[in-house]
Parts: sequence; C-alpha cells; structure tokens
Amino acid sequence: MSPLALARLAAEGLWDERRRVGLAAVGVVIGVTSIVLLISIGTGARTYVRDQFGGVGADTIVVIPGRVDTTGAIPGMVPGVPRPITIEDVRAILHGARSVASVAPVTIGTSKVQAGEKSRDCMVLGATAEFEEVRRFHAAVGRFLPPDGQATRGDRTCTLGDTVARELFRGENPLGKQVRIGGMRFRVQGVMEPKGRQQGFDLDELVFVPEPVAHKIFNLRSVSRVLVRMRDVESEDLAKAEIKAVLKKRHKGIEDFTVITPGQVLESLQRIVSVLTGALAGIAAVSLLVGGIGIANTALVATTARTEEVGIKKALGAGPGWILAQFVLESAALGAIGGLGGAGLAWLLCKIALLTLGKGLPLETPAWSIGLAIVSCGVVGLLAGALPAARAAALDPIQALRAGGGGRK
Amino acid sequence: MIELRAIEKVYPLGAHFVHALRGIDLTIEQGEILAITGPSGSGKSTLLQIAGCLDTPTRGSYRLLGDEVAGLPARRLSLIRNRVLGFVFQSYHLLPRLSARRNVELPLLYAGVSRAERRSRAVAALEEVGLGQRVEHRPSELSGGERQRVAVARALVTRPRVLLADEPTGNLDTRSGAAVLDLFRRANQDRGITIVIVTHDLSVARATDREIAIRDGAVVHDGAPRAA
Repeated sequence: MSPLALARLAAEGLWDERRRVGLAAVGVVIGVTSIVLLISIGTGARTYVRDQFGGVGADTIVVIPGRVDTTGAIPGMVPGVPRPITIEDVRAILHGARSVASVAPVTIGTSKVQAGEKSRDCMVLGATAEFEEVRRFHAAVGRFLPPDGQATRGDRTCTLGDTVARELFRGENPLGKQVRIGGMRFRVQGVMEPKGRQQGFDLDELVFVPEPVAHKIFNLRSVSRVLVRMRDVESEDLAKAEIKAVLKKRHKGIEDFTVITPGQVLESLQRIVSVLTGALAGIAAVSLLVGGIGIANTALVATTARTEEVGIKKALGAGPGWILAQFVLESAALGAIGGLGGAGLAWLLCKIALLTLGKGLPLETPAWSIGLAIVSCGVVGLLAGALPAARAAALDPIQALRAGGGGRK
Repeated sequence: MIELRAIEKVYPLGAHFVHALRGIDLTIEQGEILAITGPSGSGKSTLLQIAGCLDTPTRGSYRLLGDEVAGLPARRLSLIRNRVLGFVFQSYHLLPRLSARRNVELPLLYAGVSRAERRSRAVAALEEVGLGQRVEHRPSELSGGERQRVAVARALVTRPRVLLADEPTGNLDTRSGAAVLDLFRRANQDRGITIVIVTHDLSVARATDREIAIRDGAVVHDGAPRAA
C-alpha cells in the first residue's frame, strides 16, 4: 500500500469523523496551548533574568565590605563590625593586583534631588571616571565624573541619569544648570545614555556625584562596593586571589570583605533558571499526558463505534495492516492537528498579552517550542492510537459485522 | 472451484459447545448459480462465511481454486476476499458517510488500484446496476433496493470469481428483490461469475439452478431447487 493512499485514507477518516475529532482536538489544543505558553513564560523569564543580572559583564569582579559565605551570614552580622573598604583600599587593589585592569569604587545612598520647583527621590552614586569604562555606561551629553584622585570633597558637579534629567528639566538643556542634592548645590555637567533596568534597579533614575562628595553627603567612611575589571576573563581565579591577598594584608589578615566573581554569579543564576525550567517542563509533560489520554480515549471510542466499518472493510479485503495504519495515522494526525492549533492559539495569546499588557512582559515564544509541541503531540497521538488500532486490526470480521446490527438471522 | 471436505464448525457458547456444522462435503463448480437454504440456526450462514474466508472451519479442508485455505493467516485471507470473492449482505453494510461511488471504490483501494481507475470503474459498476444517476448519493438518500444494488456493484467491481450473498433480498420488497436477483443472474450468465446465495426463501432458491438444503449443520438436500 502506498503511503499516499494511506495518508488520504487517514484524512478521509478524520473528515468523516470531524465532529468527534473536533472535540478530541479541543483537548489537545488546550494541552498544547498550556505547554507553549509555559515555554514562552520560561524563555521570557530566562531572558529577563539574564538581562537583569548579566549586565555587569563577564570580566567584572565585585568586592563588597563584610563577609558573605556559605553559612548564609548577612554582611555586618559577622562577629565584629567589618572594616570599611576605603578609597585607599581601592587604590591598593589597582596597584597590588596585577591581573586587574581598572577599579571603580561606588558609594550608594538616596537623597532628594531638586531643580527649581521640581524634585524627586533618587539613588545617588558616588563614583569615579573609571565607572564609565568598567560598567560600560557612558555619558550621552556633557561629561561623566573626574578620575579617582582628581575630585575633592568640595567638587560640586554631577551627572544625571536619562530619566532624572528628563523629569527635572522637561526638554530644557540641563547642562550647566543647578540642582540641589542633600541640601548642597551642584552643577549638572552631563547626562547619561538611557540604559533601562538592570539588576533590579533602573539605571536611568540614578544621579552620579564624585566619590569623595558622596562620602560627605552620606557621612560614610566606606565605599559600598568596588567594581574590578580584569585584564583577562580567563584570569578570574587569579584576580580573586590577588584581590583577597591585597585586602587581607591591609585588613590585618582578616577577610572581612566578599569577592564575587562573574563565574559565581553565572553559576547561581543557572541554578535558578534550571530549577525554573525543570518545573515548567514537568507541568508541560503533565499537560501533554492529559492531551494524550484525550487522544487515546477518542481512538478507543472511534474503534468501538466503528466496529461495523472495520468489519465491512475487512470483508472487502482490507488486511490487518490497512486497518492498523488507518487508525494509527488518524490519531497521529489528530495529535498533530491539535498541536498545530494549540501552538497557534498560544502564539496568539502571547501576542494579545503583549499588546494589551505591555511590551515589558517576559514572554517569548521560540519557534522550536511550536515545532516540539506539534511533533510531540503527533508522537503522543501515535502511541495513544496504537493500542486501540491494534485492537481494531485484530477484530474478527464476522464479529465486527455482527456488531453493526446486521447480519445474523 | 470450491471444495469443502468434512467441514466442522464448533462455537463455544458459555459452558457448552455449539456444533454449527457437522461434516459438510460440498463441491461447487465455476459458473454455477446456487442457493443454500435452511431454517434459522441451521448453519447456512456459517457455511457461507467459511466459504467466503470470513471465518475458518474448526476441522476439515477447504480448497478454493485448488489451493487449501483453511488455516491461512488473516492477512492472506483478506487478500483472497479482495481478489477472488465478492460479498452482498442482508443489511447492505455500506459505509454511511461515503457516497455510493466511494463505497464501491473501497475494495479497489485495498487492491491498490489507482485513484482515476477506481473512480471510472466504480461509476461503470454503478451504471451497470442501474444507478448511474445516483453515483454521488449517500446510502441514507437511497431506497433499500438501491442500497442493495450499490452493494452488488461493490461486490462486482473487483471482477470476482465468486459472489457470496447472505439473504440479499431479506430486507427488500418483492420487486426490489427480484431486481437484485436479476443482477446476480446477469453476472452469472454474462461474466461466468459463480453465485452462491444463502436464503430461507424458497422462491429465491427456485430462481437458481441448484439448491443445497442445510438442517442442523448437515446437508439434507443437494440438487435441483425443490418445490415450495
């Protein structure tokens, strides 16, 4: 028998049974829709997480004061108050660790920022010129901050994040204008490029002041964190060891700071994402199973309801192979059609969600998920149809004809 | 061409066994037209089913066209049904969702005949039974007599050597029944097809050349059709 003739037979069988097939297909469609939606959410979440936490860069080590280790202690909860990381410590890292290319100290605080009548609460970052390079975050207009050592505590210049500049100056050119930060007057010398959200906060809502000035505003001795750019991504372990050695020497041999390497960050992210993916895959598998049971049920009902048809076809010379192939193909096609419909519906739902709820939604429908849904539904349909089909193929033609309500006198 | 020797058929029925056929010896030659008669439960339908390779005998030998077919696997039997035999049943056994033409095409599909040829042969077969105008009608749109004629067209479209009919006129009025019997006789005379009709209606038997009467699973008469 030719495959074409078989496919045609299956198509005819499906068309002849379109009402019952339609009902079964609805079950599969729902299953597949949920699978593709879950994959879309999962993929979207992965991208979101990567964008949020991957922004620091693969060549950047972060040093924070206090000790965070596997015991789960929170910085500052370790016995004894941690020593601050001073600007001198930062310079020591740059000079003492040979695998370090540049160092950007960051001091973080919040303050009201005022320009004329308008004001808003902002996160204020004390930084040096090195921040631009290490963080890959640049001034779009004007200048960023002076390099380390060139600013004094009295240096009253600042650079605004994109959103802050737009909200405080509403289309006016902010360069050279005055703003008040923490009760002190600053002159705006630059506006940053728009960057969006990263690592949980909006980079466009930041205000940058020179490092020594931030210490003065917030009355701090320590920097909040140090961003260290390595000469070479490969030398992560060496750089970490060097930084530790330099700081420990300056901190009387106590490791009261934490060095976070990009490898560590990536590793923990991957762990989170893989747990997430596993959970989603589990749910998807259950959905597919439900869809498969739906197909199996339809196939079973079909072979039972169509016993007379099987009997007639056998009497006319359809061999067991024909009957088997017809029913198996029918349920496989049913699965694939349901898969196609479900994938289409899921795609549509994603589009609608993005249109109505906003582009920011972490939804992504990869093409492979649609292909996977269709193929796996076809396979599930094939498997689900195999048993009822084998039953139909093994039917005794006389018994089957008699089941049709005719025949025997 | 049909040689049955000591054919027995035993059905399990609950804790008992039913002897439907108790040693049937029968020879049917090419080109015969004959009737198998008997009361309800005599075993005549079982005999037809065994002769039609729809069922297998419990014991005995069945040679069809010189070859032993008793005990052949299902796949081989379906091939014989498709190539050598044609069937007409009392309750038509047409597929309700298919048109008359598609019903008639069905055995050709299993024979591997191309689509275009299936179509033309099916239409020709329907014209031959006088249904040239009803080709695309579904069974539900046809009268009982017309349905049975579709079934006859379906049985003849494969050009079988033997046509086996189980109470073909049982559900029909006298006129439609006569029309169906007429089709059988024409197929027999014009094309030399062997016709075997199972019936309990002696007037049907009298329309044939030979009557084999069955009672309690054994042949009780084999010869010219008996008077009513």
